[in-house]
Amino acid sequence: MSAPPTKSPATPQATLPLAGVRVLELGTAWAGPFCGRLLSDLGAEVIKIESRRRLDTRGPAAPPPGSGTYPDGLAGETPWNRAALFHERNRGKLSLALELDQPDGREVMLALARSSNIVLENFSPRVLPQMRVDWSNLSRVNPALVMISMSGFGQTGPERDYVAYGPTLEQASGLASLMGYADGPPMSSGLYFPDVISGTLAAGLAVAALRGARATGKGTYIDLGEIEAVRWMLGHLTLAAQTGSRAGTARLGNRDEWRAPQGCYPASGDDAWVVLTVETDDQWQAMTATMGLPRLAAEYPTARERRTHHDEIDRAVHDWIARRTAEAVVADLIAAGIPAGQVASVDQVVANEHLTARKAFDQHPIPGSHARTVAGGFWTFDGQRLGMRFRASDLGEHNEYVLREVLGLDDARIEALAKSGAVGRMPRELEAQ
Amino acid sequence: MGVLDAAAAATPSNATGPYEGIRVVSLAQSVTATVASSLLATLGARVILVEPPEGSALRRLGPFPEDVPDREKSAAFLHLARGFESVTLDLSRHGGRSLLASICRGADLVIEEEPPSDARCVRETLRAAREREDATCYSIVSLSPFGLTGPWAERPSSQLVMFALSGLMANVGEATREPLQLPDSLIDSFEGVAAFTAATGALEWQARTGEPHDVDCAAFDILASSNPHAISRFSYTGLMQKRVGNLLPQGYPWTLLPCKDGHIGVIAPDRDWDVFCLWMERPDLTQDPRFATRVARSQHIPELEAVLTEWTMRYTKEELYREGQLRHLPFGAVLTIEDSLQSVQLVERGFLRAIESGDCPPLLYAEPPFVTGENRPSLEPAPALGRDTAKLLREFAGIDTPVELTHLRQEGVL
Repeated sequence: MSAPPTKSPATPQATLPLAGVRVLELGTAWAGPFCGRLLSDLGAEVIKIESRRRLDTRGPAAPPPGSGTYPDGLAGETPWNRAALFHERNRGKLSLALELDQPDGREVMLALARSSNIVLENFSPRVLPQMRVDWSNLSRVNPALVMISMSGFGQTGPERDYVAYGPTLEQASGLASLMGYADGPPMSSGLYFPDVISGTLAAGLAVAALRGARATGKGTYIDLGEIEAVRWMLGHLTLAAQTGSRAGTARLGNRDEWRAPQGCYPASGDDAWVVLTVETDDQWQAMTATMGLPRLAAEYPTARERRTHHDEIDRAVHDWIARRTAEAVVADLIAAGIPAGQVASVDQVVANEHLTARKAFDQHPIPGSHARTVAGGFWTFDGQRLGMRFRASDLGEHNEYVLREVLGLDDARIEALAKSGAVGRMPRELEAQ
Repeated sequence: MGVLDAAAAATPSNATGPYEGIRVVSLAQSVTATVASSLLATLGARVILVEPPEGSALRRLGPFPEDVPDREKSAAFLHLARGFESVTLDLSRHGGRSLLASICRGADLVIEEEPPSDARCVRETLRAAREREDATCYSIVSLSPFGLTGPWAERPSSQLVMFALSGLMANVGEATREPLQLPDSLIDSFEGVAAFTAATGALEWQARTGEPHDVDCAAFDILASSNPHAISRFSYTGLMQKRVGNLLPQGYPWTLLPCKDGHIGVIAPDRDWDVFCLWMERPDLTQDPRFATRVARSQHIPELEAVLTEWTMRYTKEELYREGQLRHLPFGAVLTIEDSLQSVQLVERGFLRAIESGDCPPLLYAEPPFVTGENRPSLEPAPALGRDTAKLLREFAGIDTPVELTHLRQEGVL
């Protein structure tokens, strides 16, 4: 599992859902690479096609000392092969370093599309047509191809070329207007969830489309606008806004529109917090008994009353929690059947006993050092965790495999591609020196 | 409502797509499981929603018109259950579970979200029925907060608890205040998308092998591995990111600022800084030693914020958004839900669409979030509770006389 295969890694085996499926990832930053990661976890052979001129999230070719997210703080001789974020998002993929804007690079791309099942990309809508490797070009060489594009606002419409980062989409989708403390301004999450959502959705849509392509021999082009993915999740608020409901009109902090009480309360210790949600009236009875305040249950038996008196309830809950440790409070609440937990910091998450028992994280090998914990597979199928299959690949590590074995090119042709700069293994800026 | 008037209201029929001919039986009651089922319907699957006699829990969750609860008018249900068929069964009774097994016979996929050790054991009923009967090969996708195994499998949970435990919440909110959730049901919905993707994997594998493949889809696993930076940064460098409110660590400005009528997302920390300064007609800022470089700017945030806010307050969020995007700056207007109903982009792409439903006046719905070929799929309006019970029992359980139905109703099975 640790080393990426150098020979025929796509040997079809029935041991994973997508065994034998080949995916070309033209992914950058978040949504595209995340989609590719999930398809790799599901068993597809994912070939990441990367530019040496604009490195994805591999970091700078020559980082300033002390910068970056390298293991042990050491950038090493090839820092672009050692960046944490790149490893985490791109484990389990092969790397072909190919310049699509060169005519011979484009030829390689078209030939690869011919022998692939899925192409995924998340550039802005102008980029692929400029290089003539968009759907119209790729579907001509492979009519059964499935292609999915993820962009901020979709491939059509007056805002198709708008520049969108994760926060832009939170803002324009309506999400940011609801995000924040009740007494504060709208906020950004900093979590890039629009990209995570879109990458996950895109993976499912692409897998489903394989079935259609197999049945009809005709491929599909899927245009996914990230803003729509987020906005779809707020679809009930679209209806609420037209039918006189208050839902979706105010920032609620950590409260809930329906359930009460719900909140995040400080426990003793530095930056220690407990969250809890009371879903039912019975839970409220149990919680007030645990707190030694059955009076509150008698006074506010229903969620509607608890919402009305949420401030008062919060003060009582706050006082009950504040002098105790988060662990003790959570243990009491769980014992009483109340949904509760600590706000976990990342060191607590990677050490979590439940996640460990379920093998929810993966260990990414590092040359010359010990393996590091990275995000794992989302699911278990038939009791087997589908996670990282092999480490993230070095830049251009599979140029040879792809050109020779997948495309069947001969020595002369491969040499010519290297000579023209269409393929290579070093960042462009270092080659020039 | 200008947008609504302009769009001719449609009465859509169900989507066609790669899952035409696929039958999904969904026991969804949560947002999460209903999202997963809904996405399968957008691809052409026939989704049969099995509801308890009192209706899916989603029908009791709002929002409701004028905030008056009505189980036929939950916006969450009306939005997500489009295209579904609805049958009511009491699965706590043997007769109900037996009818469920009949409906599942020959299905391709079952989505369920029973607690791991639930005494009613619908999951076990289905597995046993699947083993017993030839030609029955549905995969089962099981959704739960903590998964079907592991020391915390039986813990009670909520969306907020999942978000906190997964490590995501620790990074959200102001440094000096309590950590903050993501709004609405975003996290539950995301888990539903992840469950949908798992379902597509199971269906694909099943199509290739002819064997069912069961998925254990745990919210905790999924969220813990969806953190954009935290895990690998910590394990590679030992660094733990703190929450920083609206001052995101990518440099300054990468923030939200107030403007004339609301807030505007402002992102121009690097090369875009010069473009932004020219737009503000403040080329001097690019020469000011406090603001000239990325490092200097992040050391003088309060001063710079004052300068920028003085300027943003002169304009509306719409003006700043459009003008910023004309300059290829990733600015974002903080739109309210109501604002976004007027989005020309969303209407022109057919994402927001006026739909007729029963005797209600047409409403703008959020249509499925993707376009295939030139077409955006659409779906019939969500079903009334138990609308298809008689039809489905005839089709799958051979119950075709009113006497039999009345009998089942009297027994409380339907």
